[in-house]
Amino acid sequence: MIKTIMFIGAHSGDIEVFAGGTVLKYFDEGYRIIYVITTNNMSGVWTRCPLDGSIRVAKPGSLEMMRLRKSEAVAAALKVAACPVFLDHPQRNYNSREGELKELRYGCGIPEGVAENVPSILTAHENQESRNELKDIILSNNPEWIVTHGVDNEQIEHLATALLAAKSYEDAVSDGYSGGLLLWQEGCWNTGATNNLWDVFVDISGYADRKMELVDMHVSRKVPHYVRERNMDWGKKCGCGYAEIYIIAGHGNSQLLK
Amino acid sequence: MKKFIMAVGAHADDIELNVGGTLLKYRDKGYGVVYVMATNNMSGGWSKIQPDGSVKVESHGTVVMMRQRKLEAAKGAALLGTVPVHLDHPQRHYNGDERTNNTVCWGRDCAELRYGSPLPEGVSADVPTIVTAHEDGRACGVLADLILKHDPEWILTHGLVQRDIEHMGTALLVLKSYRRAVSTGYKGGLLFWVEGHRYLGATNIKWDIYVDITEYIEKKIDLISVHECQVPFPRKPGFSPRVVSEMNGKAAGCGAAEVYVIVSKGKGVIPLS
Repeated sequence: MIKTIMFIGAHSGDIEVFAGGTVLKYFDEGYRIIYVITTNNMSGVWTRCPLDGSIRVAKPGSLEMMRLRKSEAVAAALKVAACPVFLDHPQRNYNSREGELKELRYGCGIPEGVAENVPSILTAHENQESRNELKDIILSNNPEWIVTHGVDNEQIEHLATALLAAKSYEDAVSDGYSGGLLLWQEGCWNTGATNNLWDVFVDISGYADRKMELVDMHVSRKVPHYVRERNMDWGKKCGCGYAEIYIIAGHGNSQLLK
Repeated sequence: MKKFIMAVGAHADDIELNVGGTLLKYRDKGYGVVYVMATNNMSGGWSKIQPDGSVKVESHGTVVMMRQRKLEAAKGAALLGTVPVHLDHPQRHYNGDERTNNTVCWGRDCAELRYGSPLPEGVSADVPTIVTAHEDGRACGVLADLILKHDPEWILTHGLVQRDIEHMGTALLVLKSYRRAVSTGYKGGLLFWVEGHRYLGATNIKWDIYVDITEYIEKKIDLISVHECQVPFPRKPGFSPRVVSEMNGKAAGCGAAEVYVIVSKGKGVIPLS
């Protein structure tokens, strides 16, 4: 039976940035990769770096951003023979066609490309239908591990995705699922040293360059310069070249990643 | 010069439930307490004890809930020798009606913040909700100014290991306001209180320091009991905040304790104990 690992990220690019080395390593070991993205990716700016070395930033509207970011997610997932599952929960803000940043508030309108009355990513974890949707994906794929955002970060959509994944995981466990749940650490030191501890690491030493290639496929997003440095720093602490680090939220019956 | 300690909670009762013992202890040491509520408290059920001893949970509109919960916060703050400061960021849902209800919370129909949701009664359109307030420069400025005005030795607030997104939103608002205050000379420290949610893993509930509240546990329960609409039976055996304080006490080697993660030690600040 083919073994499976499921990765759940808030936005297009998150899985590659925080767990791309693990994705590649386990893909090479023969695992099937399931790739889930919780938001509709309607927000953000489009950063382009032309050959002259300059950086140009554009602010497309919600529909254009969704198209761009989802096509990048599809291209990156294809590298590991996966096809992203989009849960399409609206983000907390977006740029209007005029380039004005609009935020989710009471009394606000509905952005282009968003259906009426869909829970945003901020409240999806409290919506039983949304949890059931993710639970069903877990149960139908039966992954050995589910890997998602941790809570050492300042991005509320990452935090909300962690809540949605952890609560759907609990629901799946109560329906008989026996895999484990790992939360990746994002290395946000502003939350205090204790919030940056980890339980397990995956040695991605042979995968650092390929990880960066995967990350770079998200051309609309300016790659944070610290991605490689952070993996190297964790690698040093773990006694290898490069590492990605995780907290164990649920052990299940799965053998630890390494 | 009078010393201060600041506590920032998402909802009326969060401060008392999580750090009531610490605040009572430091009030007795002569500290002033700055009591800050991040949300507008428009949500939640209203528990009422019936003549037969059972509890009936009633649903009321936003204005009624705000009034009641703020009244209770004022009583709690008064026991700590202060008055609450309300930042009034709208919550993510409230008790709606047939026109507005779009989800189920606490087993009841509710109205939730979604694109296209109407404005609830008592809420202004230009105020960010608690889930996005941390990204609003003005909202962070208001809290940073409050920090600078009182210059508390320590700021206590929710940690990020949660089940409740409004607690997370409050933690982020405090974290970013704290950084803004530090950038203009504030030297106090920031602690996240640990609420003990194990479902995100054992490592995520580790703590750095504790405050021994053994002599304050009964007073803490008295403090919590002012929140009648949320906590109808604080003296019931097995009441979770008491059990958690006692479990933390066991781990810390005392009778009862409240536990914290150090986000920042500040500069020259004496640790809480």
